[in-house]
Amino acid sequence: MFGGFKKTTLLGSLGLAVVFASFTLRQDNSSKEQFYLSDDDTVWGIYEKLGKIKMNTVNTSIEGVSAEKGRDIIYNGSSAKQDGNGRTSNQSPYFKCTACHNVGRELNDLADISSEKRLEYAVENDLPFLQGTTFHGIVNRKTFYNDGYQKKYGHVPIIKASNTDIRQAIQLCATQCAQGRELEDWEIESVLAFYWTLELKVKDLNLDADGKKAIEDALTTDKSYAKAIHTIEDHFLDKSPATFDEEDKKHTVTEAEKKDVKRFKNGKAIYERSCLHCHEGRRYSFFDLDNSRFSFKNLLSRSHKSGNGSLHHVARHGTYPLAGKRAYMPLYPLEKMSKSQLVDLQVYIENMAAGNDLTK
Amino acid sequence: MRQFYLFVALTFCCNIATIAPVFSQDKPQKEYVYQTFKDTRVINAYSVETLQKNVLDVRIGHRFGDFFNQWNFENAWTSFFGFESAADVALGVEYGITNNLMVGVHRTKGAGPLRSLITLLAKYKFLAQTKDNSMPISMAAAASMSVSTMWADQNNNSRVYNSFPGGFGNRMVYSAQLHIARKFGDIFSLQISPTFIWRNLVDYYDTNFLMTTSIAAKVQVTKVLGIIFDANIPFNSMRLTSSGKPTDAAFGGDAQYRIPIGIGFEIDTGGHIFQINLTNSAGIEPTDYIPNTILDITKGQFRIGFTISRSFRM
Repeated sequence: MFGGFKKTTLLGSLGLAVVFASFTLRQDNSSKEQFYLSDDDTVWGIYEKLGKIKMNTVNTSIEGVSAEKGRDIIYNGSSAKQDGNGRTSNQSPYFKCTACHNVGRELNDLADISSEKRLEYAVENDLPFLQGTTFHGIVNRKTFYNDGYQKKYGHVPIIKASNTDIRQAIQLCATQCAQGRELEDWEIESVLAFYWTLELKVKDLNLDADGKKAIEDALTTDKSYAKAIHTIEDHFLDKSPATFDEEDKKHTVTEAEKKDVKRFKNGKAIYERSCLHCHEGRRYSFFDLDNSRFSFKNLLSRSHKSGNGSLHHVARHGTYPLAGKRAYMPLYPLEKMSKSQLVDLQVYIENMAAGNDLTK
Repeated sequence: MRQFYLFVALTFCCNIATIAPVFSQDKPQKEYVYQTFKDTRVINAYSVETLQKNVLDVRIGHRFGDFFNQWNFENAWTSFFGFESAADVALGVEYGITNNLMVGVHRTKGAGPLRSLITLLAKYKFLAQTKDNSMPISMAAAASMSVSTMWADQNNNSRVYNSFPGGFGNRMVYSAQLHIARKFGDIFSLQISPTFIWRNLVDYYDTNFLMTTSIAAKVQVTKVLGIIFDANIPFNSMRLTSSGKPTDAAFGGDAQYRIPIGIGFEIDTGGHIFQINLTNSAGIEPTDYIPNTILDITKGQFRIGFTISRSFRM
C-alpha cells in the first residue's frame, strides 16, 4: 500500500527539486550585465573581449615613439628627431606616403573592395584614387604585399617577410617603393602608432541589428564567440588583395565605347584623381600632365603604342627605375584599377585629345 | 630721373606687400596655373618659374661663334658656322629652397669686357596665376650679382677693365628683375620683365645704371616641344638708338650697341630641358649680355646656342 505512494512522492519531489534548481540557475544568469556595442568601440577592443590576441602593437619601450611623429612622416616625409631636437632628413626625395596611399576610409562597404565602388566613394568624398591601399584599418589586416607581390617577388626575403610582418612591410615600402632611406626603429614604431589611430571601429563595419545583437549576446552570455568573430570578419577584409594583370594586351577603344558618357565620366574621375595626383605640376614626377590637349594627345599616342611607354603597360606594370633615376611609378593591381576602368581612362583620353568633352 | 626710379622701386615693393599668398607643397595646387614656361630661363632672360623645393637643376649653356659673320661664306666656313668657337660657356646649378624661392650659382666665360664671371642669383615667386583667373598673372622677383674673377692686368695702358683701378668693387655687376607673366590657354605664354643693371665700372661715356625691359614668349607646339623668344629693350638712348659707339678697341671701331634678341625651341623630356636657340647676344648672364650686346643680326652676327638643364630631386 505505501510502496506506490513512496514512488509518487519520490518522483514528485525530484521533479520539484529540478524545477527549483532551474529557477536558481536562471537567476544566476540574469545577474551579468548586458553588453551594448558602441559605434566608437574599436574592432580590436571587441576582438580582445572575444578572446583574440592583439597583433602589431606598438613597442612603446623605444624612446621617442609617438603617433604625432608617425603622422608627420606619413604626410611630410620627415618628423622631429627621436630626442625632439631638430628634424630628421626626408625619408624619400621622391615620394611621401600620401603619394600612393590614402589615410581615411575608401569604401562604404569594407567587405566589398571592387575598384568601381572605390572610385564611386572617391568621387563622392573628393578623394584621390591611388594605387596603394589606404592606411585606414591597416592594423586590422593580417597580411600585406599580397597575391601578385608574393607571386612575382616572394623569392626576395624582405618581400616574403613583409607578407606577415607589418614592420617589414613599412620598411619595404620606404626603401623600395619610395626609393628612400631605411626608417629607424623608432620611426617605424611611430608610423605604427599613427596607424593605430586609424584602426577600425564598430561604426566602420556597417553592422546591421542582427550582427550587433550577435556580438552583444556573445559578450553578454560568454557564448558563441566564434559566431561573433565571424560576424565581424564578414564585414571587412583582413587583407588587401593585389592581382597583377600580366596579360599585356592593348585594348582598342570601339566607337560605342568612345561615345559612352558613363565611361567618359569614370575616365575623367580616374584621370583627375589618379594621374593628376602625381603628375600635375610635377608634384611627384618630372613627367607633367594637365588638362591641356597636349597632354591628352601625348597620352593618346602612348595608348596606341606597345612596349614600356604605352599606357596599358605603364598602368599594369608601372615604370622601371633607370640609372640615375631611381624613382619609378607603381603599378595598379586589378583591385585598384579594373580592366574596365582602364578602358574608361582610354575613352576619356581619346575624346579629350580630339577636343570632345562628352559632359558638355 | 633718380626720383622716377625710386618711385618705380617703391611701387614694386608695395605690390609685393599686397600680393596673394603663394602656394606651398602641402596646399592643394590644382587651382594654380603650372608651367607658364618650362624652364627657369627663356633663352637668356630669366623666366617667372622657380624650381620645386629640394630640386637641384644642373645647367650647361653654350653660345657658339657668329654663324654668318658679315654674310661671308668664307668667314662662315672658316669657323664652321661658329661651331669652332665659343662666345660664352655657362656651367651652373640652381636649387629650390622652397617651391617659390630658388638660388643658383653660375660660372660663365663672359662675352663682354668682364670675363670669368661667377654669378649668384636668387629668385622669389610671390604671385601665381590661378585657373579661375582670380589672379591673372604670375610674378617673381630676381636678383643676381656677378663678379669677374679675371686676372688684373697691371699694365695701366691696357683696357681699363683689365686693371680694375677702383679695386675689387670694379669687378661687380648687379641686376634686379621683376617678372610679370601670364599663360594664355595651353599654347601661349608672355612675360615682361623690367630690369635694372648696375655696373660698378663703366666706360666714361656710359652710365652705371641701366634700365631695360625684357620681353619673353613661348608657343607650345606639342607637349614636348615649344618655341621660345626673348628680347631686351634698353631704356638708354645710347643703346636704344644704336647711337652709342663703344670706343673700347676690343669691340672694334664700328661697334654699336644692339638689342639682344633670341629665338629657339625647347624640348622637355621630363627631367631634362634642352634648348637650342639663335641669338645675337654672345653673353649668357643678364649682367653680361644686357649691357654688352653689340652684335648685329642683319650682318649675320647671330649664333647657335644651347642649354641643357637636368633636374634631380634631393
